[in-house]
Amino acid sequence: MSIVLDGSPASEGIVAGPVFVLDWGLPVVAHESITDDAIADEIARFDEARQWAAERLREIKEQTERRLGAVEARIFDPQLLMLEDVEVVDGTARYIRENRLSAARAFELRMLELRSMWSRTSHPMVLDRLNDLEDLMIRVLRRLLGMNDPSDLDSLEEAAIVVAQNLTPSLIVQLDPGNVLGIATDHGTRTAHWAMLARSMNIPAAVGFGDASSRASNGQQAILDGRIGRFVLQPEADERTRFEARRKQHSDWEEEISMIAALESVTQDGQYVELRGNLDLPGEAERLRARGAVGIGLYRTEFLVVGRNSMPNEEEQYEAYRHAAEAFPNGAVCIRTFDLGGDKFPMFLNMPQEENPFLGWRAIRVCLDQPDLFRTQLRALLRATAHGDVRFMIPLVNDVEEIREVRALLQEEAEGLRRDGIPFNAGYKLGVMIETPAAALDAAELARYSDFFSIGTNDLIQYTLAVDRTNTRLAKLYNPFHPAVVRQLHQVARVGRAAGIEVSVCGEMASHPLGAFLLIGLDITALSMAWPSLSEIKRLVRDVRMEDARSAARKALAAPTAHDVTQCLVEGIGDSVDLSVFSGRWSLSLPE
Amino acid sequence: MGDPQLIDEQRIQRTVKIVNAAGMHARPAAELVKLAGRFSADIRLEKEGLEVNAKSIMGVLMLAAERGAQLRISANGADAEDAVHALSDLVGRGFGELEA
Repeated sequence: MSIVLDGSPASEGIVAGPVFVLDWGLPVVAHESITDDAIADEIARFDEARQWAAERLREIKEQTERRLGAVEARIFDPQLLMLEDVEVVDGTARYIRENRLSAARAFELRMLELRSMWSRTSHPMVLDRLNDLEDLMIRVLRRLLGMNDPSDLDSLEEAAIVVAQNLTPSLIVQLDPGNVLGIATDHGTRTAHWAMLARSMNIPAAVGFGDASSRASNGQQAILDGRIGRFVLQPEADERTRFEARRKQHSDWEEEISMIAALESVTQDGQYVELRGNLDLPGEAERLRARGAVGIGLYRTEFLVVGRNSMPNEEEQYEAYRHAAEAFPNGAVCIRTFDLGGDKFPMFLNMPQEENPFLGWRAIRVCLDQPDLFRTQLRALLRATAHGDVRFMIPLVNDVEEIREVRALLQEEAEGLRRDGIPFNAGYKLGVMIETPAAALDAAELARYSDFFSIGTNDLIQYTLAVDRTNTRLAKLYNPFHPAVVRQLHQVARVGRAAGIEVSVCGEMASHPLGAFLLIGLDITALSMAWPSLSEIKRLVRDVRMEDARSAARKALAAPTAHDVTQCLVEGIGDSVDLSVFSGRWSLSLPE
Repeated sequence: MGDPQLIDEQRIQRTVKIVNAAGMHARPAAELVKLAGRFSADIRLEKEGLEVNAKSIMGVLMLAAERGAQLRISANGADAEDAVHALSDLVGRGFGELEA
């Protein structure tokens, strides 16, 4: 019988295929003694597992080298060396021989010992490496216990739907997109960093299935609908028929919206709305352009650092930024400086374990504390201004001091470039991202030091409502239409207009049909979104009237609850847009 | 950084400073261990009283040597001198991580 699981959508697309359960945690090892005559066998088993793990690591390293380059691939070297390390090998063999322990138990004990020795030094650089140690423990122990390995995925003959408890950005870069039909997880949310990567890589995904990873088994047939967030195990004939129908509907819709890309982004009553794209990965600029984006509203630079073990140099960054500028010779390219911290960690920074990472050392706070990293980026950004309308924006600014400090650094770097005779545009634009209530309330002050505002609604909503956007349990409380959010958007738009600077929105709200309608109504007419949403939002823009949007926004501003705000917007849109084509993709339920 | 010193009949040592910005993190540590493995000599690294086997990644990583840290490399064996030269050269070059 079909098992139908409902979760939340995370990345578009409908797929069917076999399941691959990606289970990557430390296995439980039973305390097991062996007899004297089994000692040699257990040592041989340990050696086999080590060799096997080394082989696997070398394969992963080769793949990483092909995808990310030789330097990045070296991140697997420490693990390869640990497999040969005298402390590991002799220590484990000694426990097998002298304490009569099974290979798995002996290896686990030895590694735990080494780990506690490392932990004693408590130096962040060492603690960072505990991840390597743990990864290796998992790999070898799973082999000794006869469990599968995620890299088996690469040897599958057929692409599969990956089912996991949760994913991390570093785990997802290890997956070969060609082998992954889709991703279904027990936990996580659509705003998790890995989910964003899945959207960029065009891999359908859905999250929050509770216990999917323990209910699914390898090779089982399944259907994953990333559009409505449904996962069906062992689908029966009726589910398959429904799947085919939905897939057909989805591809028809795709075809229709792709034709819209070439059309103008203007409302029925003649208001132009500038649609820009969000870029997560370097190859996306072309795709954004193909979908009708006229510029880049949010260039996330974290791909340059996350999962890497060395700082990206100026040249590499400059090339990446220049590439984007050249893809949009006539459009704005807004590049956000490193937004590290939260759930995005580079390996070369010693990010501390924090109680509240989203309230912690992240974004501009990290950059101002890491002048080497930040200055290199600013210099590369300045150089890119020679190739187009490249603008810089600073994430998580809370007060004027921060932006002043950035300006001062920029001036110094610009001076350096001038001295070295390296070209850049001296009229560069520096913008502030409005992502905290502090910034929204202080917008008038910030406007004096900013050339533009870009509202990052994902963070603004989570900080305004004190709702962790990665917490599945709170998903219902994360509501972009909360009156407190609407009022802040209104306030920032008004301040920006008064100061004569552009206000744009680059959060997910801009790709929400009601969100886009509200923003337009608040006179925020530059919207940026991930590529899959561009065409459908353009269709919405072309179907609505600016006048209706303004009047709906006015009513929404007076509405007492999120529900009432939503109601105002739905009524304002009226019959002009068929909202059902968007339904299911947004956790927010529209009034029936 | 002076010439290698002969401290007893076989053991020679030299003290070098970590110069690359990121310090002796995973990748440099791995390179150092690989290089040390090419010599037959017994090679030890010492930082602030903590001494480890230069051929063990577990040991070398435990040093957590950051930029500016003083590292004493000592070796004992037939190719001890070559080993100390090679390792201090690698550390002195910032493990090839210095930007031009």
